This record gives sequence, structure tokens and C-alpha cells, in this order.
Amino acid sequence: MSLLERLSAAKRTPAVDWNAVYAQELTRVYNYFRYRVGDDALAEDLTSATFEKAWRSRKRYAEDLGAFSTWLFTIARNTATDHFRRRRDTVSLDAIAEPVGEPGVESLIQHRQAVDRLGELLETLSPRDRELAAMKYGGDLTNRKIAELTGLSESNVGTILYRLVRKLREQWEGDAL
Amino acid sequence: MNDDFLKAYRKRPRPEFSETLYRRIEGRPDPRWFLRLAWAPVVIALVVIGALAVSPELRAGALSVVLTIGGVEVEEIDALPVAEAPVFYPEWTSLYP
Repeated sequence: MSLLERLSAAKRTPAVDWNAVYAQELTRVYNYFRYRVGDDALAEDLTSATFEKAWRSRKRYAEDLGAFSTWLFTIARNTATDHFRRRRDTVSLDAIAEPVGEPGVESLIQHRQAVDRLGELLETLSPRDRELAAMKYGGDLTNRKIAELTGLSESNVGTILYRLVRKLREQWEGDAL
Repeated sequence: MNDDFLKAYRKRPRPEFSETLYRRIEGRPDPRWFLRLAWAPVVIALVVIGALAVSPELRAGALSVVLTIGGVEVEEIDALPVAEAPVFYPEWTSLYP
């Protein structure tokens, strides 16, 4: 593509609303870390580290936000890996309990119990399964994107997640009975 | 399969955290800015030298600019009042037979 063609193509590309991208990606990356480490303050630290590494170069991906998202999560995964290498442990998910709105005392207690239980269930997962759960339910990534990031095939990701959810659900419902 | 129970615990980041981080990553200058600044004159000089080496027209144009500027400077520095430049007076030449 010639320089003129590239310039005219760049003119046609609509301006990216980076504020909206920031709000969306921040929430996804932040929740990815919360599901992985189970601690709000630590999730904030790791999210900051990820964005500080990635955000300055974001304009390189202005024409392909999907690539930007993948790249951002690659950095997030590496940041998490570095963290676990340093810590060699994970924190309970107790800290993720935060009810929406201003519920009454009873619903607060129920919510807290549910989160405690979910934390216990996630703790039983292998590191690989927990990371996949964090990507899927914290980062809200598609199976295809998870496959891209992990190197697993898309069908393999789907199968692992299906089994994982079925197992957690059985335990979840078993507790409720 | 219903997996809503796993999604129910997402939450938005604290607004203070979100705003502070945004300000930090948007406002902080790139630590490599001085490297780019240091390279800029070198790159410009190389481009100019390369262009002059390749194009005779450009060399001629550049030379004419230099001469024009030089001519103006010389004229301004050495300019004498008309009365002090006898070589240009007709009376001077009329002294010779």
C-alpha cells in the first residue's frame, strides 16, 4: 500500500474513543485479576502495572482494537505470572465480596456466604483451570480469545470450561440443598 | 449450561482508582522522550544531507538561498552613503583627459 493510500485510509478510519476503551478494558482486566488473586487492593496494583505497560503504545492498535485487547491481556497474564512467581501463593477470594447497591443485612450475609463458597470452589481448581475461569468470567473473554492467549485450541478451551462449570455447578447446587 | 453464578461477582473498579490510574498513564511523559529528542536533529541532518547529495536542483536552490542571504548581509555591512562612494560620481571620471 502506498503512502498516499495509507494516509487516505487513515483519514477514513473513525476516531477511537479511548475513554470508552479504557473504561471497558479496565473493568475486564481488573476483574480478571480479582478472579485470579481474590484481593481488591492487589487486583488494583496488578491492573495498574498492566495498564502502565500497555497504555502508552495503544495508538499502534487504533485500527484493530481486538489486537489491542489481546495484547493487553497478554501483558496482564505476564503480570500475574510475575506476581505468582514472587508470591508463590494465592489469596482467598473472600475479599471480592462487595454487594451492589445498599442491601439489607440479611441479603448482605447471604451474598457474603455465597462469595465465600465461590471462593472455596475456585480455590479447588488447578492453576490452569482457575486462570481460564478468570479469563472467561473475570475478563469476559471469548473462548477464541482465550485460545489465542493460552495456545490451547478453541474447542479444547470450550471443553475445559464446560467441565469446569459443570463441576462447580454441581458443588454449588449440592451445597444449596 | 447456566454459569451465571460465576459471573455474579464481577464489579466495577472504584471510580477513584480508575481516575487516578487514568491521570497517571495519560499525564506521565514517556521516559524515552529525551532519546527521541536527541535523535531528531541527527535524523533531520541526515535527511537534508541525503537530499542535497541526490538532487542537483536542490543543491542549486540551497546555494542560491545561501548567496541571497550572504548578499544581503554583505550589502548591509559594507553599504556606504552615496556621498562617500566617489567611484560612482561622474565628476570623478571627468578629471582625466
